[in-house]
Amino acid sequence: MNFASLTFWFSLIGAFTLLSLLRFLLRGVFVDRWAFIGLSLFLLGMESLETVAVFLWVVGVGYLGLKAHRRWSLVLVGCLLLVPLGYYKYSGFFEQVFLGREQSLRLLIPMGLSFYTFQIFSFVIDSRREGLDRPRFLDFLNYASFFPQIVAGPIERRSDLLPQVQNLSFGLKRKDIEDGLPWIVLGLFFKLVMAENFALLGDELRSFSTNSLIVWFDALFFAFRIYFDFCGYSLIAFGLASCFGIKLTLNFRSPYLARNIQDFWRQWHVTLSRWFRDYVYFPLGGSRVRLWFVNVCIVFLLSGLWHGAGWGFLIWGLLHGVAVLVCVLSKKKRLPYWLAWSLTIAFVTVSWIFFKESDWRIACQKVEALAFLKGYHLNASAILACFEGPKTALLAGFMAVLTAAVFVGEFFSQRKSAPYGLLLNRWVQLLLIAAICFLSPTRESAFIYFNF
Amino acid sequence: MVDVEDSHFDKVRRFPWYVTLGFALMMVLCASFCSMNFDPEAKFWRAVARERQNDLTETRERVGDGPLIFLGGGSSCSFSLHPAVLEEVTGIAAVNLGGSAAMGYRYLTWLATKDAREGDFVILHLEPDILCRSGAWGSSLAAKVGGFHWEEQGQRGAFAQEIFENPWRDPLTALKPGAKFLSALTAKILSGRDLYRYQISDLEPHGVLTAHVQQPNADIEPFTPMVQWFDDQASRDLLSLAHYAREKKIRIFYTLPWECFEHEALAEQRAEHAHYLQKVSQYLPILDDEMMGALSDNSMFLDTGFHLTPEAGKLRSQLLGEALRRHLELKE
Repeated sequence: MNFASLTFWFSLIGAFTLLSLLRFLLRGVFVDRWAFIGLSLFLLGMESLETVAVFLWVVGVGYLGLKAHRRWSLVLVGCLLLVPLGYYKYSGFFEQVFLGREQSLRLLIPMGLSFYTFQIFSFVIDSRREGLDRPRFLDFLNYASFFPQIVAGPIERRSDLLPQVQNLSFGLKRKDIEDGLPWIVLGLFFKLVMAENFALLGDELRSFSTNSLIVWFDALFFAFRIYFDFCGYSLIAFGLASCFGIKLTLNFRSPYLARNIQDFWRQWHVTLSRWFRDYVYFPLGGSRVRLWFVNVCIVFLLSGLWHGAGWGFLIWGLLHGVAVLVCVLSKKKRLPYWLAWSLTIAFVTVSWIFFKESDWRIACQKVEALAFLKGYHLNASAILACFEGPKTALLAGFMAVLTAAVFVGEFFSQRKSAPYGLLLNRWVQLLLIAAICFLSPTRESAFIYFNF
Repeated sequence: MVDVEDSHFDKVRRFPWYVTLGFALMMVLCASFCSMNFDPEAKFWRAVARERQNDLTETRERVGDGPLIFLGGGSSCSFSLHPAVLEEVTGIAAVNLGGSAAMGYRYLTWLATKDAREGDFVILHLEPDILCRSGAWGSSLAAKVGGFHWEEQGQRGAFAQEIFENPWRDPLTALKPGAKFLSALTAKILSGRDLYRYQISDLEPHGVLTAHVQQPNADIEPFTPMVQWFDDQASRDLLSLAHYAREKKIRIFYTLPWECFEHEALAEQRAEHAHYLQKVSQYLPILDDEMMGALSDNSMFLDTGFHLTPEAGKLRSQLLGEALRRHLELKE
């Protein structure tokens, strides 16, 4: 379910038209719900039947889990929910760590597994904590399978999404479409123009050496790429859901404008941060216990592990955990915005190196190269030498200007407390559409977060 | 949950949905138009295709019902294989239909086979990169150069269907200029360089291209392992091509282009090539020579480590012709 591919949009329009026709023939409220389930499962099934089978397992276990009232049965449900995640995502890594041998299985993780597992997990826990009734299975299935957010979030809670899907209408309303369309355009611009061109730039850097400039460019390009990629996906999901009258959580709120790491995590992948806060950090005692800093580190280690099974992800998580601790402990020291922002963005960029590199040793070499002052030659020819040719350097310059323009837009939107508001302006939207048609690369690629 | 309040939606002034979609459609058409008409590389290859089509028609008329040799592949084929030499050695008329690596495996094989009839020969002179990693090359240039006849594709079986996995999707995706192309064009305009490296005047009779610069030093490659590239996709592609050849009763051969490598890497590279050819030979017969696709004398190359000088190209064509002749004699 790649929102950036034409196949997805053609399939969506085709399936929606067909199901609308069926709905017209068989009117009734249940038809609407079945139609949504049909649409979502069809789009998920385009990936593979295995993806649907794993999804149905998690949904089935989750729904049965809503009947579990005893603690042990809840633990059992939790374990069964995590079986696919453990098998597909972590078995190879644990085999490597605990048995000390190369991964015998290289499994393709079913699309969206980490996201919908966490969403259903939260549903089961919330239902038990708040003593809520078990919803009808159709509503539960729609909650779990709602296609705009099934593969890469946002991870919605019961209280936010269930009431909305219980009143789902399969039809499209003009106001809803006009609400959703600007978000979809902005999301496509982020993904196709910004993320894809940064990916291209990353590919066209000269291969890794101890040249600090190349490492910086590599890290920066990845930092921008992953932001525009994931944020782009989230904005399209938000817009698509709006077209059907469903309001999802805005998963990103200009995180690269954050003045410290705590703010960064309040603005980056918002629903995941909340999930870890509500279901890990608070149950561990949060900040009220003496060893609260251990809790912070546990949360960030788990967050790293959630992103992927590998030492690089764990180091990345730990780095962020330590950075949050430093931030909490030095809260009274107020730095000027520009300095705080620069330090934050520099830290985030460098930490992405561990996230990107599958081999943590190479990541360490790269970070070492950054710290090595001899590697810096800040003149035009040294900068040009980082790229495969002058045309790539020109593209990098152009992308720098475009990125600056986007961040200025985000900055002023944030000041008006309307995330991305300026970029949703109708005239800006026309510019974005033109940019998508003229500036997006010809290749199609999936979203990075699909791997998680 | 609902972080963006409804009032925020209401504050944003929007165009009606049909204006947005109509504008998007208009932009798609404008972008495709610019892409088709202002891309100097696509313009060059379209002109080459026209010239070659005329050449092919003339050659067909000349040989009547006799067989023809179609030479297909990336730019290494365009620059390095001389049909006249091949005809001299084998007695069979030949045409060079080589394109550019950026067109991708599927388009290049389609180009080489589309006019072949029963009894004709097709020699695929494809770099391992293109054969095994066609996914790495976009079909953008292929879509811009075009020349497909969709109505004919239905009759060409699985092989033709796989040329473009999705005939409506790929050209739609491909016909965007892209920031990389626009910045390359801007860089060339600003620096006053030619918009494309080759001119139509570089095209010689029978479809051979030549370059007027000789600077292969940058392209002398170290040892490159390539057997690992030969994956399931490459097997499937070759299997379907072999099936198509049997169906149409044309004979398709594979030959490895000559490439410039460091002298120290030569022996190891040739062994690697032998291993790679063994894999390809499971699907197509191989025409090889003692060079095994690896040379270290850079004076034999023009502007890249794949484009041979006219003299080296003639030698290469002669050896290829002899290999084909030997193969045919053995068959007889």
